[in-house]
This record gives sequence, structure tokens and C-alpha cells, in this order.
Amino acid sequence: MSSAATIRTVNVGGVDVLCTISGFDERGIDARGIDEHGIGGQSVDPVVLLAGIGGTAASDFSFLLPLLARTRPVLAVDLGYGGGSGRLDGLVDQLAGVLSAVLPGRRVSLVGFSVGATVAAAFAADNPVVASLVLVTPVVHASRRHRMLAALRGHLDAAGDDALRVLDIFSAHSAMFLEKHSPEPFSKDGATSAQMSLFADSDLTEALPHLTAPTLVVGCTHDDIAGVDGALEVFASLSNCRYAEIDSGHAVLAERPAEVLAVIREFVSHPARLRAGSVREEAHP
Amino acid sequence: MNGIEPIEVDTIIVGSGFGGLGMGIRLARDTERTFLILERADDVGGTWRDNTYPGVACDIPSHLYSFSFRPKTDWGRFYANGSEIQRYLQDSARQEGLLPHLRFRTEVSQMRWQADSARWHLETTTGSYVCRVLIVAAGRLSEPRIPVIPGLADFDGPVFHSSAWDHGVDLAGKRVGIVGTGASAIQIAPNVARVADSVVLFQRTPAYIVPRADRAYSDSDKRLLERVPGAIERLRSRLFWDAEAGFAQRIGLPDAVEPFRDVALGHLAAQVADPVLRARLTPAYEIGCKRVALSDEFYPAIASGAVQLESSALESLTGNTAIGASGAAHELDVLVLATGFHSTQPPFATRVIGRDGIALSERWSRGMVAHASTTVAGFPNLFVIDGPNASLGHNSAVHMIETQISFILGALDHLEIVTGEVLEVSREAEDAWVRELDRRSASTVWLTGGCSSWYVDDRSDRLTLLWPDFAFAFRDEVGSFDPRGYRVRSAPVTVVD
Repeated sequence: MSSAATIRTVNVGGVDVLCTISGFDERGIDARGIDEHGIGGQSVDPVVLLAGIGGTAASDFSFLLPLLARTRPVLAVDLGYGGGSGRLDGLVDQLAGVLSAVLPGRRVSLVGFSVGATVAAAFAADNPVVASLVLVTPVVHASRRHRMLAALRGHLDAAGDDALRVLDIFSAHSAMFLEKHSPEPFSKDGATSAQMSLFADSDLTEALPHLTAPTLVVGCTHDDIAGVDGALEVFASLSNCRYAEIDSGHAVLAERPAEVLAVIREFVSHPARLRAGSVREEAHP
Repeated sequence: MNGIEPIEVDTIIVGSGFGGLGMGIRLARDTERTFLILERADDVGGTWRDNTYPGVACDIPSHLYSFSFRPKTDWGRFYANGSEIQRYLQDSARQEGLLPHLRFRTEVSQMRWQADSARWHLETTTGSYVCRVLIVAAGRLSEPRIPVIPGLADFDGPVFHSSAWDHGVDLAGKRVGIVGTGASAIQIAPNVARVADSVVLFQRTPAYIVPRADRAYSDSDKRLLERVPGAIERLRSRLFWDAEAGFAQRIGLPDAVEPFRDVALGHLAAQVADPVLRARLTPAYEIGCKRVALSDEFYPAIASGAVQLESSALESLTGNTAIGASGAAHELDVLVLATGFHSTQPPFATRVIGRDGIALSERWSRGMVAHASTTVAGFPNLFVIDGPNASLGHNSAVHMIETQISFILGALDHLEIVTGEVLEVSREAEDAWVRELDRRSASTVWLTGGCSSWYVDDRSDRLTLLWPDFAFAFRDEVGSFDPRGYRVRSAPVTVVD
């Protein structure tokens, strides 16, 4: 199956939403050739990816998207956070519009990273379209620390201070990763601020009881943005949920891309393999 | 050994490298089975016993290139040298109590399945053996490939393969020729250049080389791993997942391939200033198609002239004169063949005779195949470690070996649970597995990269050496035994005198 990606724009209520599509095309999903490994009984629901704070499908999913697309259809959605469209209900509407245009009538495995996890959780509440849900570095409700970070970013941004770049890189990555890599800072457009505000305001307390799809929560041990406690809290709040932990900073798609792929690939193929309520055993390679 | 009854045990392992020792350790620790490990040489270690050439070292981080169930906190370097790995394997064999199970200087000449007794019968240089389960862990880089070069037999001086280094030959003041530019040659050339009078390297195809950036571990590094619970597992995990990301380079993902190629070509540009020399060292195929070497010493040795690059194959030898395909003649005292191994056509396969009297090499006449990379239709109760599609170009072989060991232990448990004696995979299951791997291989750099390599069988152009996916996927798919596709039978009733 081809893993070449195509880009398509879908207008939802006046907002142009960028969609990166791989593993299927306009004619739809060709079920032949995507039966992973030829071993029966696996789900091949399309995977829908939502990027995180300061990221886009292109920056966050440069590894995950093409490699997931080797075994299943994948759609990455760059929601429009700018202007007045960045409120949570507006983002949920955007996602609903995109899915009904691009994958009409299909159930999907929805993967949200960081602020994308906030949108994914809100979207998945009482929504039969979501066959399974993966929340990577999610936050249930913003803490004082989240609000402090958002405020600090806001000050630096308003002052045009270059220290903003340093703060973003500092907060998104683990010390270990920064020893060896020079990552890019968050995107400089308004979306990052809108995403950070959304994160700092987020409260999923009401949505969580309505999440019934099989869910996997991925927490990162050195996450200085969402915090690993937020992930644990989501795990503890959901009845049909498993938990995996990765030794990484918030930017886990940059720090441990293959491990995220492994965790997601296993879960979306066999959402029920890991019992609800259990913690994924470390791989011990 | 005529007249002596064959020695009978439950399980025989052939080979005592990482595969055979790992299997033996797990059998000894986790089971009550009787087993022997047959080894043709007089020590354990496999590759790391045989390869003692100057500069021999591993290209995989030492904390990853070791058994997960025998972590070693005091590896001396990020990339261990060969002798440290060999000591690790010797210590493993001794400390795990494997010595009583080992039979050294025991070269197996034939392994034949006897259907009437449902046993494997082995003929060896130390007598006959009989077993129920045969595990071949004979290695994939264990049989030197000696090139056919006119005049080679009459060369007027020592000639030896890189994996059979003749330490009796003093290279000081000698004119040394090295044939090949694989991983061994790249380690050997700069080291030999330090002592020899001159070194000529015969290069048929240049390799991609990336910085090695090796470093010694400090005492505090080692103590941290020793003192802090979980620290060594954490380090190993990080090394594993870092390496795992490299698979993206092997399927031609532009975002992964281009930076990787830039690193290699940047390394070449930084170390070799002469544009003519640089051009001769620049590969014409895609990076990753052949094994990517790690060296900080190779290019400087060429650039400084310490190693003279003959960028053509060694075509013939007359007396002391070596003539390259370019026509250039070089006077040599010693010739080193760093020409690799019989990887896709392992010689052990000619000695394994299955259910229908067919040799494994015959079953594999179009290339190696196995279900779950481990079992072969027509060869009951046979398991092959490090055989078809069980190697990696981007991560640790030990991870693959441990995965296969878990699979084999699972298969043996399954036999016990269903009170069976004979386990054999169906041809249909094997064919389906192979078709699926061929499908996954099609988009990999090993088949699309425009090179010839020891990963690909030249009889069928199939990728038979490498697993065409992530190492984690191998663990997911092979790490536990799945009985679907297998037939289990009980043993035929035999009358014992």
C-alpha cells in the first residue's frame, strides 16, 4: 500500500482546515492490502491525528503519519485555532465537519496529542464515530502551573522577546534529549498562543464520563507542559482505559517517535488486547 | 566412535554465539529439559571469538548489544570492542552454568530427521547424538566468503580472511593489501596502517560512513548504572528506541533519508578535502542499501595517504603483484580478505535433512524462508535462530535473538501443554508469512536502493536476511508462539529393547 501523502483543504463553516491524507484517496479506502500482517481479526479503522501545541501535522507527524500509513489509512487534521475559531466547541465542530467530508460514515481511531488530546476527548464524548481513542499527554483540567506557563508565554510574546523560543524549547523537551538535539521552537503564528490559552483553560471533567470508546492514555515522565499527573488522572477517570508511559519530555513525537508508533500501532490494531484499567508493561527491549 | 551408543538429550543447540548461549541460558534457567550445545571451535563466542582483527568492535551500543537478562553495568565504552564482548559471552556461559552442557570441537556433519522415532540424529566429529528438538544457531556471519581471484592460491605471502586473522604474521614494515569496504575492512584499514609499511585498499563499491562518536564510560557512569535501580533498563530502552527511529531511513521516508545521507556525505566532506578522492569515496546508491559503517578513523587514513585507495576490485594476483580492475598494479607482502560471509546461503543448510529426505539447502534453493522467521515446513521440531528475515540493518541483533528464544520456549511449552511430540508448520502458513514479508520488503531501501548487498539472495532477488520492519514489530509478531498454522502430532509408538 502506498504511503505517499496528499494534502487537501476542507472548508468547515468558513474555516479552511488542512488535511494530510495517506493510505487512501478521493475514491475512498481500499480495504485490500491493508489487512496488516495478513493475520486476521485486526481493526483497520482509519487513524485520525491531531497535532499538539505549537505543532502541525507536518511538524508533529513527519514520522508517525507515513509509518502508520504503511499499515492503515491515516488522516492528519490541522484544525484552525486562529481568530475566534479556537474555542473548544468550535474545534470539535471543525473536526466533525472534516470527518464527514473526508471519511463519511467511517468509524475512526482518533489520536490527539497535547492540545489535540483536549479536542479529541471533547469530540469523542458520546460520539459513536470514535472506535478507539488515544490521548497523548492530555490534561483533564488546567492547573496553576499551566496558567503560569501561558501567562509567561503571553508576556514574552507581547514583548517580542526572543526568550520565548528558549522557553518553548526548554519546556517541551527533556534534558536528555536537549543534550543531543537542537529542536525547532513552537510555530510563531497566533495558533500557538491560542492553543496555549485553550490548554490553560481546559476542563474535561464533564466530558470524561461520556468517553466510552476503548481509550489509551500515554503519559510522559518528563513532561513539563502537560505533566505526567494529568495523563494519570485521565487514565484514572475513564472506565475503558489503559495507560502507557514513555520516558520523554512533552515533545514525545520528537523524542521517542518509534515508541509512540509502537504503542499506537498495537492499540489501534487490538484495542481490547490490553485489559481496561491496566498499565502497559514496559517493553524491556 | 563406532560401536558407541549415540548420546540422547531432549534438545540440542548447534552453535555457541549470542544465539546458542542465549537459548541455553533460558533453557537452563526456565526449564527442566536436558540439552547440549555443540560447538565446532574450542570456545564460545561465535562471531566475537572468530573476529580478532585489529580494531574489531561492535557498531551497536554495548548496553543494547548484550542480553536483557544479563545486563552489564561496567561496559568500558559506548561501542564495545570485540574482546570485551567475547569476555562477556565467556562469563555468561560460565556464570550461567552452561559449561557442562557445552561440547567443544564438535563439528556437525549431518542433522537428519528420523520420522519413525521422531528424533533428530546428528553425526559429528565427536560422535552421534539424538534429540527431540534441534535448534540451529550457527550464525549468519560465520562462514567466510573467499572470492575467486586468479592467482590467489599462488600469492607469494600470507593470505587470510578478516574473521580468521593470522596473529602470527608481523605486519610491521609490510606492504598489506585489504580487499573489501564492508564493516570489517573499514575497522581494519586504519589500524593496520599504524604498523604496516603501506596499505592498499581494494574498493569495488564505496560504503556510506557516519561518525562513530565513541566514548569511554567513566567510573561515575558505571556506578550510576550499578547503584540506581532501573537505570540500566532505562538506558537500554533509550538506546533501543533511538535506534528504532532509524527504520524510517530504510523505507525511503524523505524526511528521514535526506538528513541521514547529509550526515554521511558531510562526514566525508569534513574528513576528505581532495575532491577527486572524495568522488571516489562517494557511493552511487542510496544510503542504507548496504550496511552503513561507523568510523571516525577511516576517511582520515585515506585522506592522509596512510591507506591508499584502489577504487577497483582486486582482479588478479601474480606472485606479489596485485592487479586491480583499473589495471593498476600493487606490490604486496600480505593480503587480507575482508570479503564478508556466506550470509544468504548458509552452509549449515546443506547438512540439515528434513522429513522427506530433503536438505534444507534444497528447500532454500530460491532463498531462505521460514514461518515466524524460525520454523520451516518439512522440518519438524527444528528451530533456526538468526536465519531467514531475522536480522536488522538499524538495531540490535540481540533483540532479535531474544525474541526468537521466547518464541522457541513458547513453542516447546505449547508441545508440552497439548502433550504433543512433533511440531511442524504447514507450508500454507509459511507461504503466507513469506508473501507478507515480501510485500513489506518491496518498499525498503534494500530492494530499491540500487545496490547489491549480502542482505538479498541473488538467486531470487528476495530480501532473505533482514526483517523488513521495526524491531518492535518483530517482538510483537514473533515474541510469543502462535500455534495457528502448526500441526502437532504425538510420537509414533516405538518398542524399546
